Amino acid sequence: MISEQTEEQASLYVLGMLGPEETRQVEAAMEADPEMAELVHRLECGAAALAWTAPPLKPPPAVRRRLTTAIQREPKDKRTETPAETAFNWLPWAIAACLMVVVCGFAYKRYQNRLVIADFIIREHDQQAELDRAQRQETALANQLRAAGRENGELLAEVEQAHGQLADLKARNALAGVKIAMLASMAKNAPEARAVVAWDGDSQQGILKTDGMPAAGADQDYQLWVIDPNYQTPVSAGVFNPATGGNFAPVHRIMKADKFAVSLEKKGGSETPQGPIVMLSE
Amino acid sequence: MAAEFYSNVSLPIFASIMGNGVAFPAAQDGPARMSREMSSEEPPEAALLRQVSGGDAEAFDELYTRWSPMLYGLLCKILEDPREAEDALQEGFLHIWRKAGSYDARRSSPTTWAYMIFRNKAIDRLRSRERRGKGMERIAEEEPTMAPPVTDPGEDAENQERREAVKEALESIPADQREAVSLAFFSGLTQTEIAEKLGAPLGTIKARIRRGLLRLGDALKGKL
Repeated sequence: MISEQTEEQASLYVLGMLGPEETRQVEAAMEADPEMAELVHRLECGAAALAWTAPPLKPPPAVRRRLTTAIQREPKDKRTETPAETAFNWLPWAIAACLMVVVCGFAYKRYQNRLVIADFIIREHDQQAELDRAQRQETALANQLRAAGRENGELLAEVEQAHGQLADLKARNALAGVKIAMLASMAKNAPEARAVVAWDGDSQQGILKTDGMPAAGADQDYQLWVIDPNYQTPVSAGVFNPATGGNFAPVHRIMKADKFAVSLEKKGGSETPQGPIVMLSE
Repeated sequence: MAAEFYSNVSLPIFASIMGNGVAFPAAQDGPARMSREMSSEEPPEAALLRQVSGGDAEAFDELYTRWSPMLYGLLCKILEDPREAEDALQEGFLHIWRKAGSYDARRSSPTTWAYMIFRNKAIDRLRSRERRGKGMERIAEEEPTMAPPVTDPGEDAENQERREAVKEALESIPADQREAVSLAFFSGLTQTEIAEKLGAPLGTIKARIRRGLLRLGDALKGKL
């Protein structure tokens, strides 16, 4: 169904009253729509009717002469011939075919280019996705690293703490390895005398503290002994001043300190106990 | 005098155009010669156009003889200048000589096709003249006055019938539509100029032109 507006455009087209753009639009519509083409033909018939209102006039013969001369000068290729009246002219068809081949070639090339571009876009998209993925991994790793750093610090602190605990434990262990022995008086003249021995088997050293021991005679010394079952006789740990006590180190390595004893010996001490035992551990 | 010369020399002149040694028949009046090479179904003028498209100078001569009075009359009516009408007539027939092959019998009758070609060429000249302005008008006024064109009394019965049919069709449409389509067809005025001239809105003028052309087209379908 053609609208009145389209009919008006077609009417103006037939009378040559449209601009170039509108003229092209009407001609395109005629090409696309047979109904539109039929309408234009009807309107042309109506317009041409008006021409019949002009009375016929005989043109001067000079017009025919001029026309004759013009046609004589007219090159034949300016004329439009009907295909039925002329021999088949293959040249336009060949040119058209060539053009078609070229157009198809361009179209195929364009299609290929579009495929390449599409492939490129897909690859770029994949690469971008991969890049995004890598960036996310990098971020995650950085976070993990920071977390690990924090954990590392915590671990270091824990290790430090563990070291401290270990040192403490070692200290405790060291103390655990120290044998404390209380020596009671065996002497009748000093029953209140006391002595304490702290013995560290690892270092083979010990400390002696005394309390209430009377002073030894001028030619006498108190001597400390370590009784180890691995030795047949007590092992000398040295002479000492009963007023101060002091550190001691046995003359032989002590494997097991069963008891400690103090004897009153000649001045300078003895290799084996010679004098009376005045103090003995429990 | 001019008419005698025209009728005597027409065919030999067009025969000489071809220069191919073909002996054309002597000039004869009227459509007696038009029966050659035509099928019974094909309208005579359509067959002539087909022959012209094949380079048939004799067919072209026949078309000129048949059509030039009505086309020259149209050109004189539009251009109101016999000298320019002659130039337009020559230009129009050259167009037919070159483009006869483009005629499509399915779209229109041969006379409608030819009329629209010559009408458009006349309107182009009219508009071109108006664009050139008053300077050209002054030159035209200084030219020696031409003798008025001679009415052609020899129009065949077929064309007379056509004119009668057109007259009836034009009388059947409203006067305002007739006026609008006549101005649009002959004057070369734009739609706006026609609206101003007739003192009607542009939309009304467009509608009158549309309705007038459609009614004429329907009334004269198959008659032209």
